Amino acid sequence: MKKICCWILVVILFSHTAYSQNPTKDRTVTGRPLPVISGVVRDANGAPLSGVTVSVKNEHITVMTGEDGKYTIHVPSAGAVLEFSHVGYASVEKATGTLARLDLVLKSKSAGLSDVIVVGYGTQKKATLTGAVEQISAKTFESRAVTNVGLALQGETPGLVVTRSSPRPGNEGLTFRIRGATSVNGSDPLVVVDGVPVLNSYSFLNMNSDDIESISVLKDGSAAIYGSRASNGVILVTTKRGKGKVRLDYNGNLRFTTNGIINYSPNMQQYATEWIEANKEETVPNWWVWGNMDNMLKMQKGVEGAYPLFGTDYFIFNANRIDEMFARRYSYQHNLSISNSTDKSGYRLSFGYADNKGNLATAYDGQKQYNARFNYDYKLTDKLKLESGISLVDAMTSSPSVGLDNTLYGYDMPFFPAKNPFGEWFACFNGIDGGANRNAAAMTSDGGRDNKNSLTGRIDMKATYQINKDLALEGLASVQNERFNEEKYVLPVPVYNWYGVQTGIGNGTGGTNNQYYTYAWTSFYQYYSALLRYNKTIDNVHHISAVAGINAEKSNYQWVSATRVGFDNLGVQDISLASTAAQTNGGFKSQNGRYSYLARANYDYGEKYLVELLGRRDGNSRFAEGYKFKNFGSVSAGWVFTKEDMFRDITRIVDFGKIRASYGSSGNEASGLGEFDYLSTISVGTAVLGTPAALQTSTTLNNNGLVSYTRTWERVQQKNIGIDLAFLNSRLSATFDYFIKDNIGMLTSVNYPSELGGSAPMTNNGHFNTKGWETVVSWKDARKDFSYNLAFNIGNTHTLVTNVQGADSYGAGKNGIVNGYPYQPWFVYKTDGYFKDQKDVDAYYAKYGNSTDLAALQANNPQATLRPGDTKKVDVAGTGNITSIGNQQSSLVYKGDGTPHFVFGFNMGASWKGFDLSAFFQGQFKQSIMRSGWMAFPFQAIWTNQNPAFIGKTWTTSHPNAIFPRLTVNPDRAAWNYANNDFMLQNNRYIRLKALIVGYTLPQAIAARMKLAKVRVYFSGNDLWETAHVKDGFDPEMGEASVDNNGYPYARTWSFGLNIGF
Amino acid sequence: MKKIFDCCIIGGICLCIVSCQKQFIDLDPTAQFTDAVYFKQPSDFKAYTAGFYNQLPGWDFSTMDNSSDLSANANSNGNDLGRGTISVGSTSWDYSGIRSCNILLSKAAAYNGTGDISQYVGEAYFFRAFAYFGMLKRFGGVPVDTTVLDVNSPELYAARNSRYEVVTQILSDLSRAIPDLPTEQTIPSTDKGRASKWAAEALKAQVELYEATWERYVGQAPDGDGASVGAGGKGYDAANVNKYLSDAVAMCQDVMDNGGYAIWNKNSDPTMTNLSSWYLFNLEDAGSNPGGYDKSTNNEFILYKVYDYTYKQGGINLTWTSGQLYPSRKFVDMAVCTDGLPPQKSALFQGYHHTGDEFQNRDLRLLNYLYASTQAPASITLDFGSLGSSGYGNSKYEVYKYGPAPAGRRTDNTESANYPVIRLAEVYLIYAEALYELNGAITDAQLDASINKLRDRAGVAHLSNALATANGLDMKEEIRRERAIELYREGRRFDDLKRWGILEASLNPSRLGRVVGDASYSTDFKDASGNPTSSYNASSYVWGEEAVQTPAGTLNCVVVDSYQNHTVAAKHYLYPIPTSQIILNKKLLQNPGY
Repeated sequence: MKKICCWILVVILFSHTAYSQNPTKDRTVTGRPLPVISGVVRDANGAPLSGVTVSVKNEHITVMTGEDGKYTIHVPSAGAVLEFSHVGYASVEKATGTLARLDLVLKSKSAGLSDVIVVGYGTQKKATLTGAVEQISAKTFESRAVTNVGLALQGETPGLVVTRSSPRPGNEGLTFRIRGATSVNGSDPLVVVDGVPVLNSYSFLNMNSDDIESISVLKDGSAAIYGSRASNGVILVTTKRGKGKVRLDYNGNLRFTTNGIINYSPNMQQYATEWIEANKEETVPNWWVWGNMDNMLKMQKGVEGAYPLFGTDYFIFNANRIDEMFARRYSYQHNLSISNSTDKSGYRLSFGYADNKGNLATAYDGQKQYNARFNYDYKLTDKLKLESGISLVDAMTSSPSVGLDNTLYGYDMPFFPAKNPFGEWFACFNGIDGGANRNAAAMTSDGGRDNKNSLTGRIDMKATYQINKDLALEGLASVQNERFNEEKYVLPVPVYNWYGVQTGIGNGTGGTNNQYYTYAWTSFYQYYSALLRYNKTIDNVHHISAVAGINAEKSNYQWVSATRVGFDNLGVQDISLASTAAQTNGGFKSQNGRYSYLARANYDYGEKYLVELLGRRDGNSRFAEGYKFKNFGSVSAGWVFTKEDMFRDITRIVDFGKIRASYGSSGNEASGLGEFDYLSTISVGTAVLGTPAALQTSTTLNNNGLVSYTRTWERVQQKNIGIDLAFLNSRLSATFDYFIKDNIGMLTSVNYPSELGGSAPMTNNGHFNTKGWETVVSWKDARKDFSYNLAFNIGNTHTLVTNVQGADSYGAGKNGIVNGYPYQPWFVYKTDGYFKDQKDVDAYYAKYGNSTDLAALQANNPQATLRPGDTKKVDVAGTGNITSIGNQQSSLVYKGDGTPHFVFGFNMGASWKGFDLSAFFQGQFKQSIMRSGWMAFPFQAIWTNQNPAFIGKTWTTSHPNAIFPRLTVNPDRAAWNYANNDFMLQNNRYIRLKALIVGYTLPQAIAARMKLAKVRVYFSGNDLWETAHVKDGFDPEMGEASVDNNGYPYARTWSFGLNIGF
Repeated sequence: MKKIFDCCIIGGICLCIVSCQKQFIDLDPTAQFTDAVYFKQPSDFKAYTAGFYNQLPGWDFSTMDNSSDLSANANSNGNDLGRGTISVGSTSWDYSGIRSCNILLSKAAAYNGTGDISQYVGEAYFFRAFAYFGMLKRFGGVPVDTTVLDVNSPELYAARNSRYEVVTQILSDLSRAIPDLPTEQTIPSTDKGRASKWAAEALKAQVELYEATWERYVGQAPDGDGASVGAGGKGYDAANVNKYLSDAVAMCQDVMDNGGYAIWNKNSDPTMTNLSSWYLFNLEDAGSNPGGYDKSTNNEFILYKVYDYTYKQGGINLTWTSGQLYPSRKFVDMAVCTDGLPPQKSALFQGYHHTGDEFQNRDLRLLNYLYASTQAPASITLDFGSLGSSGYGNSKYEVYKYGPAPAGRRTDNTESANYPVIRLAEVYLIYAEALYELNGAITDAQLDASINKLRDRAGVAHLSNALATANGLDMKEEIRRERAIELYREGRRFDDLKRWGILEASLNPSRLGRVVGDASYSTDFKDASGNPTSSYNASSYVWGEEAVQTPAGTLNCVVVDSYQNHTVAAKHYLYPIPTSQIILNKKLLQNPGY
């Protein structure tokens, strides 16, 4: 109630002051008419520019240019300075002197140092910035032809690393990292849209990219103004607002996808070859269900048909599962917007519709999305301005409820056809095994649907009251609401053998899997802020600006779910049609809040010496009483040395040079913290007891009663030093930054002896250090009709974890945190080639026969003993025991970390008359990965699919210098030979053409004749080409996993688009 | 004036906003209790103890004695112990259940409500004892904690208690649980499955027999000295062996006399076709057997994990995989003939010339467990296959009418029979063994009151002192034989081999399958000239054949898992302490030999 009162008071005060103003008239000074200045503003091509803001410096007089680029403005006195600004163009200041007419050409901006860019709680000139901030303009999104905003940001700026783990629309699994990881508790940057943090990542990713005016990436201490959630950097999004004359824009594209890298699955010939080659190496062959070598030889020849095995016939066909299940699918997107502004008000209304489809051919797998946004600005008086924004996103993801899992590739060899001769779904292995009723094509087609619908609404209201010339008060309120509904049903899919006899119900669709599940999630997020802004210039050289205020956030969520087991599909799907015999339900609700006081002051002297001070006091409901609030702050300074007289000589070459340094601390609230983790809460569940059995209430203490009352914020200290340079009339520009981030008191779960009886709660423990650098170099030039630009960005980070209690042990493979090592260090067996001969093997057993790792590979066991050609692991510790256990006593060596390094982006673009071409490459030079899962190496398990990439590359007596060890069908020996050995680490280096855009814009004159403002057609391709170092058939962006849980191939996108402005 | 006004606005807003702070920061959970308001009434305690029942073992292939001497399957669960390839890194060291019990006991100590919570206190003692018994069997001595530890508790870095101290703790907990727990007769049907007084007594007898025989046959070698290796021998008292044995007998006697339990023997119902020993382990609703018996007819299970087709299915492909849990030659030769004599002593034994011969006149359990039938198949094909077939099947735990509806009743993963943790049959077996260990003898009346009731269900003659004397049988071996047969694949075998001190001798020989004979002893698998017949794919048996002593003389059998794979040693009586725990607590000394 109190809260509501506060806001009513704010509104009343605003309205009161608003109505107390005198009606605005033409300003007059002592009765004389003011000087009037008029003119025309044009772009570099000579076309008139509408919607340019023309204002008198240090006065509140603003007009806008009309359709013809013309403006007329009254100035208070002769000699006033006019400021011209327009989004996408470099702002210009002109002293008017005694002129009555002032025509101007605005240059479009591209990384120009005179740009005004959006920073936290305001805008700043790039020239006077002391922090590390990158801005990405709307142009980035115009022709990328991806609906997902996150995908469009891939590689656009150094230090923002965007990775995706899946090509499925709505399920891309995107992660964002600004300057690498900061904490083991997730390092997601904060996303702020129009000054307000977004409800969740989807409400950012699902934004209509056509609505985005610009995106700023705050990378260093300058993000600290956002406090609590900003220690991983901030992505600031500004949406388009009404501007200039009435304008109607349409843009749309149609696209289709083709399969990308798909070499990870074998055909029957390759599969058989791998088995035959492996068994050639065995003294005790094992043909598994394939019985004997003759069958495999037949398979190797590609003989399709019946294989009499296991008391039945296996029917094997070279049924390429990729062809069977993935095909070209068409997606499209339409955006329509209308915008207009006058000196009183402005609006922009936009609508978007997109249907994005994944490549799945057996069923629809994609996301349909509707977007609407209405931004409306109104100037009540000269002093009071209101800005509002309403947006609505409805995203509907629909996919098969079963089948996109390990049955696609990981489990079964892809040579069982989808259907038998009767046209019925065919069970792999002819359904012989009770667990073999698998068929991904059948399950995705008939196994039911999983439909998710997320409806997110958001309303922003912002009022700015100019108290006096220097001081303004700003109040902002935003409410966001997401309603998420999921309906998932699984239908039993009967599967059959080759002779038309049903062998069972398809994998994952029978029994209790056959159910109807519904889930409803609602979250409500409120954000309020009140800010005072102060701007003053004294003696034309002392520029002071300051902002101070409060912001408050609160989010509430709740969910309910219900399940009924037993559902028949009669064409209508609803929970009410499922069996009530076994129904369960659940639900939960919770809340959390944040409250912060913030202040920032900037001072610059003649745009030469720059200082910024910032302080925050952050509170969070996730911590216990007394530990909720903590203070943070930062200081930064800059020196534009090219403005110094002593450097005048170099300014002929270096137009602009600035050195920046910043030091700051901000809080980080670990994402792993629950809302009320500091309380020992009770979880209520059910247990099954009784005869007949029934559900009985069962409770547990969360985390088995282990809580920490005293934990508090992580404190992240950031140090940054940077230099900005521009050469040769700003044609060449470069930026370089070096930074150090220290997370002190990182929230981690300490490993205590298991005797504790539960995992310890996260406590402030340990130190996470990140060091890195990043640089951007760009070149742009124009000659008459031809202009071109090139830009290259690259960055690298290195992490170090220290002082985490209980984090001293490591094991084979990729570890999480280990004191004294980077985040995710690799510990692998050191190997010394392969055994040359039996003598070599015998000598090894004599020395290391009692090793822990050789327990299952005894010398006297012909099935499992090591042989010539098997891997020779080195006894690094000199203990005579080859083992992965015991840290320094083990045979493991540290081999770098698993995070991406030297991540880069490369843009190039050119335009000639109406034609434009741009290409954008993204990649990384170093990332150590080791393939995991069933297809990581041959015969990790004998019953899975096998990766054909190893064929011909393994040790044999005639090929002793092969890159991989001898093949074996014994899984223990295969693990010894391959798993976690140093030679299995691959460098995931790649460069990929993320986007290629070719467009043509109709000349203005012709367009005008058609009564159109703009006509542009373009082709845009995504992920069309790459070169990757990973040679095992997987996509470089797919990460380390093989296809255990999914085998969805990565896709290339080809699209054709049209932009029309009316 | 205007300035003052502006300042007032700003000041007012600021004040107002500061007072709003609480609305955003001082929040309470909206859907959860905290423990400050919980544990105030008996129903809170009841709900909390309901969670303990998840700690009971359930359907899991790792508790089916795979890789023991009675098993000849290639399903690898149990390989590490069965073959002696235990690695020091992997074993689990789980105190979470113990912590849950300690929490309840500490909340009970602070309880000042009016309702009775003694049953739930008893359950906490019961489950703490159950958890420590699991630790004892695995590791020997472990640190004993009876309070709720915090991250700063010094106990976390304490040394191991000796096995004798652990046993003392277990027995003390059970002694406290027994008077607190209700009798089975008073547990309402909605709470069936909860631990009764009888369950605690049966568990106590189980622990006492285990420990008494361990101390008698294994001795103190695995304890180490407690200073450089192992948990040490603190608290050892030689007098405990007989004390434990006599108490075990008393506990069993009480359960047998007052528990109201009975052996589930439906062999008198002709529709059940003498398959009680099969239907007991897949007993669900009335459709789970031709006699229409459901779970309510089972009062043989004393402690069990409740499963239900609707609420809690088995969740493993029980029937499919059970079929591949092949028994070994040793097991098949162990079951007695209908005259109550082992095959080598019995005139009823028919030898191996034809596939079904060895199953003639044998213990019903052998056929129930292996073929879900009273008839063995007349012909089989010996083919090693991918799983190392021994030539015998397994049907224990397989469901009745396997397959999808309408022809079948249950498919894999949906089997939902209750899982037996302790059943009356075991109480009989403990009773008989403890008596014999205590007195060196057992009377016919005691045999009739216990294991002969199992022999009734198995359709074989009673064991008696006269039968033993007349045929030169060792009574102790016959009681152990009865135990091995009755509790086949119920997760007891490895522990029995250990406490009898015969682990290495039992596990190091090869696991064998069917007798194939040779020219001098022709079978369906080898003709009179000693050549494999079409029923025997000899080349598929990668380990070939081995000649061993059988009830019909020394004969060749197929080898499923060769002795060459087995290196079981004295150290394997205990598992190693996980290295990760030793790194965290330097005072944990590793067990000897690792």
